[in-house]
This record gives sequence, structure tokens and C-alpha cells, in this order.
Amino acid sequence: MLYYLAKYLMDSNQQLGFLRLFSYISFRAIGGALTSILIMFLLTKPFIHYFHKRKVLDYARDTGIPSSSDKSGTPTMGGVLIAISFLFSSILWIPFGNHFVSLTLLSFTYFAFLGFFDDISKLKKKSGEGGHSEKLKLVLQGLFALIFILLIFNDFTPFPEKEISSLYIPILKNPILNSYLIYGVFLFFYIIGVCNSVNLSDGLDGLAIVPSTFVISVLGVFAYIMGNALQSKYLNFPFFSGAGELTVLASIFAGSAIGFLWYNAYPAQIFMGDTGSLAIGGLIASMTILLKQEFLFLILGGFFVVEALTSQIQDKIGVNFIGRRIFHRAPIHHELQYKGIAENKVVVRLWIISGILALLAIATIKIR
Amino acid sequence: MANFLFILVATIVTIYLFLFVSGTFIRRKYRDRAVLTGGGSSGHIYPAIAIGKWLQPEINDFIFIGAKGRIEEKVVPKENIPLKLIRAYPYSTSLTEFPKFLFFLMLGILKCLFILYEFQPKFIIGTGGFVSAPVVFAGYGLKKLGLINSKIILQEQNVSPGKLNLLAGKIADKIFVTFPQSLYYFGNKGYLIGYPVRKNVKTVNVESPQLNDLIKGRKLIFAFGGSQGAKSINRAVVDSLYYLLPYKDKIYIILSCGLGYSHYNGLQDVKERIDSKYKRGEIEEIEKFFTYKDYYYNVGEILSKSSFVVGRSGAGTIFELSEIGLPSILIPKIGLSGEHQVMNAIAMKKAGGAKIVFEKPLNGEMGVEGKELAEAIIELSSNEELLKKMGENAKKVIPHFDTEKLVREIILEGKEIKGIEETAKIEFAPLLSPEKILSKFSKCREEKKEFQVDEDQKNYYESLTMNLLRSKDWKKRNQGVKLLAFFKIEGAKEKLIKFVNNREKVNRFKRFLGGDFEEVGFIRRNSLLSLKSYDISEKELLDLFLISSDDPYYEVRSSCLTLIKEKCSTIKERGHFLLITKKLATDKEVEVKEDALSLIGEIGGEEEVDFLLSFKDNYFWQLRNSALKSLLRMAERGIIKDKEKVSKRIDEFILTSTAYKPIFEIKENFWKLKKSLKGM
Repeated sequence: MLYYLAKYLMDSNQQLGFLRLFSYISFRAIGGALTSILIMFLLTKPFIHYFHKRKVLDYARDTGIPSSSDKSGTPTMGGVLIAISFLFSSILWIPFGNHFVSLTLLSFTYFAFLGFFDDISKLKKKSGEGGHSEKLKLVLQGLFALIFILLIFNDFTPFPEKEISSLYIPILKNPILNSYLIYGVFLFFYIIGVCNSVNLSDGLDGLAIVPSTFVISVLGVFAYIMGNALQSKYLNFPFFSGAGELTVLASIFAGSAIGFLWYNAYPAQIFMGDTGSLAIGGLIASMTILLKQEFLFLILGGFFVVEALTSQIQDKIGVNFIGRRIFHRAPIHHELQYKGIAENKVVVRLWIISGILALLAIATIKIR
Repeated sequence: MANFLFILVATIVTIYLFLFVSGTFIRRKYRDRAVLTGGGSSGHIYPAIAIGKWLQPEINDFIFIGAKGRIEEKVVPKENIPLKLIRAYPYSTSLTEFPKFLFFLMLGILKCLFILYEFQPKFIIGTGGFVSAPVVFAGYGLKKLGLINSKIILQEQNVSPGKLNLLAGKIADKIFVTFPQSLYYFGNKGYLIGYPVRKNVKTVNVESPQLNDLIKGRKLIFAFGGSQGAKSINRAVVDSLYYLLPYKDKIYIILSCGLGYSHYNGLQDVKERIDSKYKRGEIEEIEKFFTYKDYYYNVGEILSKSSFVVGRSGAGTIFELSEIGLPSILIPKIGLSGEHQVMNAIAMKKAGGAKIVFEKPLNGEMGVEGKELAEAIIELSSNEELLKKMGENAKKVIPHFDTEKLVREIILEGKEIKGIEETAKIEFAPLLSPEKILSKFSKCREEKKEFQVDEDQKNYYESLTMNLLRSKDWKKRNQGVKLLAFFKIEGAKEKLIKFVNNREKVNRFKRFLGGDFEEVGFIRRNSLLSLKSYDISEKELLDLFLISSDDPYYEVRSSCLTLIKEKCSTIKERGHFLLITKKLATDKEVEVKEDALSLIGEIGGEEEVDFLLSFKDNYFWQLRNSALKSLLRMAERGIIKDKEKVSKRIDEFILTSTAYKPIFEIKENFWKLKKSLKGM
């Protein structure tokens, strides 16, 4: 919105020429981040109070003996705040009609709603165990994956014609594959996998929000390069006109995330709930797809991949098939806790690891 | 793209409008239609037909929706009701069966959508069984879309509904129940009406002189397992004859062993069993007070002359017993949907009209021991007064209302006659699934409370546990093992020890993934944990310790250590135990080492102090912590003699740690306050 306002003012008055700042991605990125962080600071405190009043509280998963260190009674659904600040700030700072941005926001919003209803049904049941049944959740995620794939394969696609179904892997310059069928099937599972992996990682105070900020920020760098004709040619990336707006989006998300971390850091005053974790998952999934960096996620989001793999292997193969634990505890953050490391130390260590992974991902920009 | 979407939406809207309008017209034309459904066994079919016929003449046009290949194909056409068949499949949670069930459910719903829309019934009457579920779901869907306008009425014959009926109950308008206990499941949608059966279906008694000759003033006992026969009843009766021989002048037993249409041929089985079990002389004796046939067509007559009955506890049987007022020994079949036979039997027993004998695993099959059944038979037949009282009580279990009048009033006139007062009088506790009962028990154990179950439920859970323990699915065996911690069944200890000792290898694929033995890691671990509730001799304990200290799964090693820690007061010869414990203290898993050190604190002597002190600079804080705790325990036990020296040496311990327990003052105070207020 501000983009159009600045343009209008500039056209009407020669003296307001400095407003062309608003057409620069870098300026809008910083402005957007500051806006979203400000909204988080303004909103979160009253919201925490409100959540306490309305009993939007987390219920601990094991109903053991009451102890002073359990976390039940902490408000959940902080993801609503992330969503509000992120969406509001995006509307303010990003011009409309960019398909990269609309697809990303669509995915974010859909998954935020999915998580929201899941949280609500958990609250109604007053237990940490099942909100929606796992199957229903998977079906709804699959449904979105189908819609998303249809959208990018049709008129709504933001890609140039020949790049629609190309599949890139890091380091190599050219796509390894260009087939609608295989790419479509791949995307379907990719979207579901990524969303759930973020959902699983949201287990300790501040654990999911920082690594996802790293991931999305690095994707912002990629978006900047791919949206810039010169840079993309120089660095051997495909050029996607308009992808640069995703940088602004990434930056806005980083703002909301840091604002959220302010309250979510150990000991947490609020959790993001499924609303937050699924929405972030949707955001990461759609951004990686729109930037053709699906395989980069293996490195960049290595932390999420490991979280998802450990928990799935433990559950599907260990506990339900061969009848023993394969890891001592799963997912990985609980394993570290089991090893005798305190929660906040585990969280910081995993931040460091995901930071290193983010750096490695950035290194692939030049190595190709 | 956009065009295509528009056309799609427009088509759907047009079709919907067309269906809506034409549906309204059909509805106007035919106002007296009802769909009956329910099947799989005659116990479901007759109530549906009965309710349907009672609604005449107001409702005249019926169709019956039944399952393909089931008994309704024969029964329903005889009643002059048009039959529509769908494919249906029983509900099951197993991995191979569930997709089949889901597929046929979907298919069934789809077909029912067409049938129901075309027929436009005023009422949909379902009596359970897996056929009625798709009909009810389809009816509900159409109703919500406004395409039909019918009332959905369910009928539950048994005390406890199965999973599908419970689900269907949520969307039905009214639910008729036979037992007052069922109202517990359905809340204020339930209507207590008794058992819907038409008067002319009841058998007419014909006096036949042969029967009187046979009985000759003895007590007649009729044993039957339904028209198909029940293996466990047949075999139990044959086995019990041995113990009943001394009573041959007082009783006469008639066994109806089953028509043998299905895979089980009752007549042949009984014949073989008698021939193999008894010598020729004995058979002659037995024949003086025992006779059997595949099926007795004069059931009504036999029942009217019987002193009591041995049988299954399906709703139909219970109804008949209650109608005549006949005492019974019930052998419920375990594992049916909603455990309805067990619940029916318990309801009958609570009313005071029956004894229950639960099945147990015998030589790998579920069955009843002959001796147990014989004892029950002797007890009943020798007590005239008890029999009389039980007969009176049996009448009370199902309320004997004028069911026809009630059905007409509730359905046609919309009266609210619920019989809620009846429930207030009856105490009722539903049976729990193994998961639920386990979590309840563990919760009570944590809070150090006693969790009480009454005798019948205890018997049922014991029988269930035994059934679980012999399951092929390790998850079920695991549940059984866990349940053994709370239900101390005969031979349980030996069984648990056998589980721990099992070294039968699993298939290669599972081993590749990390599996080891048939009795998987969880079972071995839980067996050890369950053994905590049993008295174990020192030798057994040592044997267990020896085998599980070599177990490939770390949780087994560590839980064995905790078991021995719990039982250490009984150990006299500690040398062997210490040796193995010290070996485990060098295990590669931290958890095992930790437990080993803490066990040393319990059983160790003066010599072990040095060993514990050697952990002073271990990398893992848990082990240093555990060593210190053990030293503390030893000090408490008065083992440490040279206190000054030890006190100096523990100064060398590294005290840094990577974990801590946070103390949130506000929560601490909250719990303290709560406790003190509760104490007052």
C-alpha cells in the first residue's frame, strides 16, 4: 500500500522525489521488518493477557504429577500474532499483483487457518494429544498441495514458460529434470513433508522460531539474486522477474519472528501453537518451491529434516514395528535433553547448528 | 481455467437444484415410506422388521437394505419386504482389514445415497450391524443437504454399542435401547423401550411326552451356543460331564451343538471329543444323563422345562431368558464389538439372574475348563431357593413394557417417553479398553490410590489379559504384559519370566531395521517392570539378572536394575549381584550405568565405596550425580566407616553440570497452598 501511496505522491508532486526510496527492495525490506517487529511488540502483551483470560492455554502432553517445572498453563496460539503482524506488514509494504508474493501469502494463510482450527479443537478437548485427527490434517495438507501445484502449473504461474517444471539442485547450473508429472508428484510430498517437519520441531521454547528465521532469511537472499537480472546472470541463477519481492516478505517475517522470540524465549510466556508452526511450514515450503530451491532445503533446513526423520523413524519403525526405541528419545531435541542437557542449552545449541547450516546454504550461491 | 471453474460450479448448482425440486415432489407423493436396515445376523434383522410392522398402517411402504451374502437374503423376502443389497464389511482396526472396511463403507454410502434419494423415506430405522452404518451416514448427508426429509432412528439391542453404532448414534435423531444401562451411552437421545419382537414370532409350546420321560423328575439343564453352535460351550459341557457323574440322578443335560453351516461342525466336534475323552463304560454312564443333537427345533418347549441354561449372552438370548424368567450360566464371547456379550452378561448378573464363567486360554484356544463349569452347574442345581430367586431376578433385567405401543407413540406421535428414571436405579460402569484401563491404573498408582474394579469386571479383565498374552501381534502381548502388573493371574510370574528369557529371533527384515527377538524389546522391558508386583525368589532374580544383563536392548538392562533395586531387601547373597552390577556400570549406555550405580548404593558394601568414588571426574554429570547419591545412600545405611576420609575424597568431585531443575517460585507456592488447603 505504501508503495502505491509513494508513487501517487511522487507523480503529483515533483518535490517528493525522495519517495522513490519506496520502490527499492532494500528500503522496503527494512521498513517491513521494523513494522512487523513493532506490531509484535504492541500486540503480544495485551494478547497474552487476553489468552489467559479466555483460557487459551497449553495442556501438557503427559498428565503426570503436578510439578513446578512443567509448562502447562502457558498461553498457546501465538501463531495468530505472527500471522497478523506478518500479513498486515506485507499488505503495507509489498505491491499487489506479484504472483510470487500472492502464492506465498496464500500458502501461509491456508496453513495458519489449518493450524488455528487444530489448536481450537485441542483447546476444546483440553488435552495435548489429538486436535484434529492426524489423518484429517494430512488430507487437508494434501488438498492444499494439489491446489498449489495446479496454480503454479497454470496461468497463475510466476515462472517463465520453460522453467515451470524444472527441478534444480544446488551446485549444478542447469535443471536436472523437466517433467510436469514427476515434478508435480515430488512437490506434493515435499509440501506435506516440510509443513509437518516445522510442526514437529516446535517442541521447546524458542526452538522453531529461530531456525525458521535463518531459513527464510537465506531464502530472502536467494530471492534477491534471482529477482535481479544482473546478479542472477553473474551467479548463474535462472532469472525470475518479480522474485525480489520475496526478499521483502522474508525480511518482514524475520521481523515478526524476532518480535515473537522476545516473548517466546525461555521461559516462554507464549507458544506459537500449530497456528504458527504450520503457517511457517507453509511459508518455507512455498518460498523454496517458488525459488526452485527444494533440494537446498535439505541443507538449509537440515535441522527440520533431522527433526522430522528422527521422530518418524522412532515412531513408525521403532515403536510401532520392531518394538523398541531406536533413538533414546525422539525428535532430536528430546534426545539431547535425555543426554542430560538443560532445555535452554539444547535450544541454543540447535540454533548454532541451524546457523551453520544456513551459512553452508549461502555458500552454495557461489559454488556452482 | 476460470471458465472451466465457472462451468463446473454452475453445473453442480443446477444439478443440486434439480434434485432438490424433484425430491420435494416425490416426498409429497409418498408420505408413508420407511427404510429398514440392519443385518449380518438374525438378531439384527427381526427387531428392524418388528419395528417396521408395528408402524403399519400409517407407514406402509418399506424397503430393507441388507448386506450381500448374509442371512437377510433368506429371511427378509419371507416377510414380503423388498430387499436392496449393498456390500458391507465389518469394522476392524487391523492394517489389512481397515482399508477394505473403509472402501466398502464408502461404496455402501454411495449406493445408499441413490437408494435413499430415490425412495424418499419418512423414517430410516437402523438396528445395528455393520450394514446400518452406511445407510445412516448416507441418510444424514442427504438430510443435511436438504435432499431427503427423514428421521433417523437407531435401535441398540445390547447393553454396549459397537464403535460404528456409537458413531451413528451421534447423528441419529432417536435411539431405542433395550437395557436401561445403554442410556449411559446415548444421553438424552436414548429411549428405553425394551426388546422389539413381535408376539407371533415367539414359539408356541407343544407338550411332547418323550421329554418328560427323559427328565424323570430330574433338573433339566439346556446348553446351547446359538444356531451355529459355540465351540467353547460344546467342549466345556463335554469336559464337565466327568465331574458331574456323581450327580447323574439329579440332573439331565441337553446340548444343542450347532447346525454346522459355517466352518465349525459342532456335532462332529462333540462326538469326537466324547470318544477321545471317555472310555466305553463311562460313555454308557454319561448317556444316562446327557444327550445332544445339532439343533432342537422345539427350543421353546425345552426352555420352559429347563431349570437353568448354559449359553452365550447375545441380546436375543438374554431377552428370552428374561421373558421366561430362567436362571443361567453365561459364557460371554470376548472381543466382539463394544464387548457387548460381556456387558450383557454383567447386566444379567448384576440383576441377580445369572452366573458368569469367563473363557480362558486352554491349550492355545479360548475355552472354559470343564471343572469350573461343573462346579457352577452343581452349585445351581443343588440350591432350589437360589434358582427360584435367580429366575425372578432374570425377569427384571429387561423392562417388560408394551414395546409396540411405545414405538408407535414415540415415532408416530413424537412423545417423549424416555425411561430415564430407570437408569437412576442402576449403577453402571462401562468396560474400558486395555489402553484406558492401563492409563487409569498407572494414574492411581502414581497418586498412591487404590483403583477398584468390581469382581465381574476383574474377571473380564483377567480373561482379556490372558487373551492378549496369546495374541500374535506383539503390541497386544505388550498390553497384556503391562496389565499383568495389576491383575495377578495364576502362572503370570512364570509367563513374564519366559518373556524375558525369550531368545527366538525375528525375521531378517526386522533384524535389519534393529529388531532382535520375537518377544520384542518393549515386552521384555515391561515384563521386568510388571514383575515388580510379584514375589520373586532370590534364585529367580539372579537368573533374570544374568540373562537380562546381556540383553541387546538397553531399556531391558536398565529396567532389570530397577527391578532388583526394588527387591533388594530380599537378597541375602549379594556377591553375584554386585559382580553383574559392576559389569553393567561399565555399559555403553549412560542410563544403564546410572541405574547400576544407584543399585550399588543399595546393595554395595564397604569395598564398593572406592568404586563409586572413582566416578568423581566422569564426563557425564548424571554418573557423578548417581555416584554421589549412592554414597549418600550408603552413608544412610551406615556402611561408610571412615567418614572423614570419604568426606575429604568427595571434594574431588567435579560439580558442574549441563542440566538443572528450574524452580518457579510462583508455581511452587501455588502447589504448596493447594496442598495445605486440601489438608484442612
